[in-house]
Amino acid sequence: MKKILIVDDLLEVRDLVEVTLRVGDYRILQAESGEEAIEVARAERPELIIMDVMMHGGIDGLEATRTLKNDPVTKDCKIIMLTARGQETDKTRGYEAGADDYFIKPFSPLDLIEKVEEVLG
Amino acid sequence: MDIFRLITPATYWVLIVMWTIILFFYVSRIRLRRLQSRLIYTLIIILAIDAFRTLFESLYFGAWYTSLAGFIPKEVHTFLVRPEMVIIPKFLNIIAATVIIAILLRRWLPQEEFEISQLESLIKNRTSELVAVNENLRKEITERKQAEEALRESEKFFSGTLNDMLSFVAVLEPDGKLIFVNNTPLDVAGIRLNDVKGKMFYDAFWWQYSAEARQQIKEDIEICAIGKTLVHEIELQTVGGGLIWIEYSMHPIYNEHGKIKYLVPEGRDITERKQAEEHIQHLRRVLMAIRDVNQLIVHEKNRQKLLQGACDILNQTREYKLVWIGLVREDSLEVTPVAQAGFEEGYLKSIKITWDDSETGKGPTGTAIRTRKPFVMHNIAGNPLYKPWREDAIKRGYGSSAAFPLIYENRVFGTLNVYANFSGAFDGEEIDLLVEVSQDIAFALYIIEVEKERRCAEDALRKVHEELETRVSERTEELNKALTDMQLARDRIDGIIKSIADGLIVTDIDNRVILINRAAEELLSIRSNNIINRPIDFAIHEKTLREKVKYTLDKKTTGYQFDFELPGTVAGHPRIMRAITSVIQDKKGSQSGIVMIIHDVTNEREMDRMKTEFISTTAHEFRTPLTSIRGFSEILLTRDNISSTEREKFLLYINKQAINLTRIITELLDISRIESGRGFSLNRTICSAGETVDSVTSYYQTMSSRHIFSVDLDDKSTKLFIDKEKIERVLTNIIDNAINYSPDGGTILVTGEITGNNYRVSVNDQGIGMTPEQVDKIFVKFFRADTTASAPEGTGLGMTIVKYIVEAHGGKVWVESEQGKGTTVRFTVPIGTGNK
Repeated sequence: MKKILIVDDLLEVRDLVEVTLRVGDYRILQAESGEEAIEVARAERPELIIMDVMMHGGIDGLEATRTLKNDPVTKDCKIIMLTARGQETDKTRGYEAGADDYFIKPFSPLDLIEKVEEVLG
Repeated sequence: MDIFRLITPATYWVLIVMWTIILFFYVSRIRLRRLQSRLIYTLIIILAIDAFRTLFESLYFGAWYTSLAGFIPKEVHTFLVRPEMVIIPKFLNIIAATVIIAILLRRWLPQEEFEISQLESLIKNRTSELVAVNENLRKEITERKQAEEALRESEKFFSGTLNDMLSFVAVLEPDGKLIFVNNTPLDVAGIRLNDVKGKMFYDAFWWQYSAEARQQIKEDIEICAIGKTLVHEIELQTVGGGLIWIEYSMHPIYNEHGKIKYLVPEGRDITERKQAEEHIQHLRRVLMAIRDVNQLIVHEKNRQKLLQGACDILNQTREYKLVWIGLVREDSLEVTPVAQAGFEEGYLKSIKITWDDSETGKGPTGTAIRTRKPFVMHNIAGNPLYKPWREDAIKRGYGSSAAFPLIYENRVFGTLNVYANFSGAFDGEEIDLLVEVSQDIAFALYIIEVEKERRCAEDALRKVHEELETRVSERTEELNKALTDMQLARDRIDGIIKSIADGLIVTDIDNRVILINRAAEELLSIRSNNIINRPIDFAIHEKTLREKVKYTLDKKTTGYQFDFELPGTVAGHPRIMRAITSVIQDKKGSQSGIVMIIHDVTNEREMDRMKTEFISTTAHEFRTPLTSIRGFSEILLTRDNISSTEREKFLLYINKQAINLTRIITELLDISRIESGRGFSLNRTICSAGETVDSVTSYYQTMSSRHIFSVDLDDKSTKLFIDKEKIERVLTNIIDNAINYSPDGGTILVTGEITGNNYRVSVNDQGIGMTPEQVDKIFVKFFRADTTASAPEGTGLGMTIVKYIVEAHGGKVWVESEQGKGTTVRFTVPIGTGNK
């Protein structure tokens, strides 16, 4: 069972992603800030992290991604950026930070499932 | 031989005597024809004898006469040198000379006898001479004087020659008693010698016409009685009471003892001489009148004065009763009197004179004009043609009148009219004079008219000239005004150009600066004095900019633009400038220069940035709630295995985010309304301060677990007259910011207090705070203090809306903030009952 970490400062978004991925054989973890995400990821080493970019307080998703990708423990974690910012520059910044893919809010749960499956291969 | 001796001396003396006698008769013109002829015959015989003798002597003594070298025998010599022989040739010469002198004398000497007819013809001749002189007078005053001189001479001549017309010879006793008088005076007086003989001479009939005459004769007798001779002129009474002038003399006759025995008065009729003198005097006055009129004509150019002057002269010199000059009127065929002199008493005003064929046109004036000839009315009282004016004329004592047309070059100007107080006053000479004067006046009128026409033409010319000058000066003024207007317009344009906030540089085709405004000077830190007429390269120090400008100018295209940065007032915040070029085209369409406008686009850039940010943020703000709505609704639609608890939870999420979305949209719409000024109105009601604040804070107190809310309101029951919903929005927006910009666990303090007529609400957080610059911009639309990726959600419109709503209520809103310590936002709303 693959572990997927959902990072978003909004509970309802975390809940949505979790419900969406419930159809697969995944173990869902949650974190509501960048710091928590790093902590959980180091501890659990999930296969996939779905990371919100903009979070209130603390480090944002990009910073967290960079940290995780530079950490030998977590660098193999796949990271999908989940953001409401859909501009090219935002995508580029995400990839530069080390993200493996990019997913834009609002999204269709089915599309997210496909994307997750695609990333996890 | 002896006969010659005898003959010769006697002969010559006789000859001389006879010659003298003949000459005497010849010269003195005493016609003693027989004596004269006998003397001539005698003279011829003597001359013949003498000639014969001379011939004989020549033949007899020819040898000696011809032989110049030989001697002369004594007797012959004696004969030859006789004084008579020498004198003969001389006498012959004297005779020839005297003959010539005599002929000349006879020719030159005045005749002593005159006939009255001769005198008359002489006077006539003189008169014609005077008329001739008269002609010349007009031109030459000196000639006139000469003529007068000649007249005076003739006058003397006449007085000297008019004599013996009446011989009066009387003999008186020394006491004056008349002894004898010749017949002539008796015949003249129609008396006989006995009527006067033995009576005193001065009492005689001849002097009875006046006491003065008698006294004069009496004095003459007394003076003559003491031995003095008297000569004077006096008038003598004739039969019927007439008077004749005589030259009168009285001289004493002495007896052998040297005592005065008689007094002899003598008299000669000089009436004709007197008449001649008077005639001459008359002619002289005539000439004077002409002269005076001519002089007037020469110097007087005013028509009225001229005509009046002519009337005055004629009236004074000729003593006419009335003189007037009338001018013809072509329209009414009337004659208008324009000048007059003499006794008139309204005559000219009372009468009507025309020159038509009517009754009023047949008088002297009208006739003279029609016929162009002088017309003399010898007897006003008797001539039927004078009927229209007769009564008025006779009342004023006019006896005769004459009218003379004023004609020059076939044009009748008017008439000269003269009136005398007796009939038949105008004789030939008088008429000649007046014709002359009339011609002169007509000429003068013509000259004045010509002069007037000339002056009119001059006036017209001057008028045209003045008009032209006026037009020129008007045009000049217009031009000056146009120039001034142009100058003003140019100054205005200059002023506008110099004053506009954008920098402006105008260059000519060779890139030389021809105009640079103040803004451009400031932007580029240059002075126009240093750059005008110099290539623009000199104007810009900064190399990159200079090259850009140069490149732009070289391209010479309209609408080309580029941006460049200039150092701003705050380090790290450069001003962004945009230069736009336009090609100046002259009238022919060719390029004559470049206009470059430099516009500060810093604010636009900032606005653009803020808009971009806004769009991005707004999209994000939309996306977040939409994520929940779309996601959960799809889950609910596509999944069957959702528990009812979850279903409810999901639906709550959807609902909450829908509300959130609505709020965002409302904010956007509000700001749009605020900006457009439409559709934003307050719906005010009375509500308490506590109720209003609590409705918002209680929501946050339950919904946000991350912060501690503290509410402390004075007088919660204070009544506010507000749009409650909008004031709640204000509070919500402020508290949202407090939450978003302060760390978890922080306290958010909401306080309320009464300040005068307002209720003041303050929201204090212990958040990150703001810099003064950020505080300055907090109410600016789309401004967000934090624009990083991790910045709190928000459109940047919240505080803008706050400010607008508060101010719409008549309140104020302001911010106190310190970086790192927190922010306090305060606003006031009016306390009120709604009565306002």
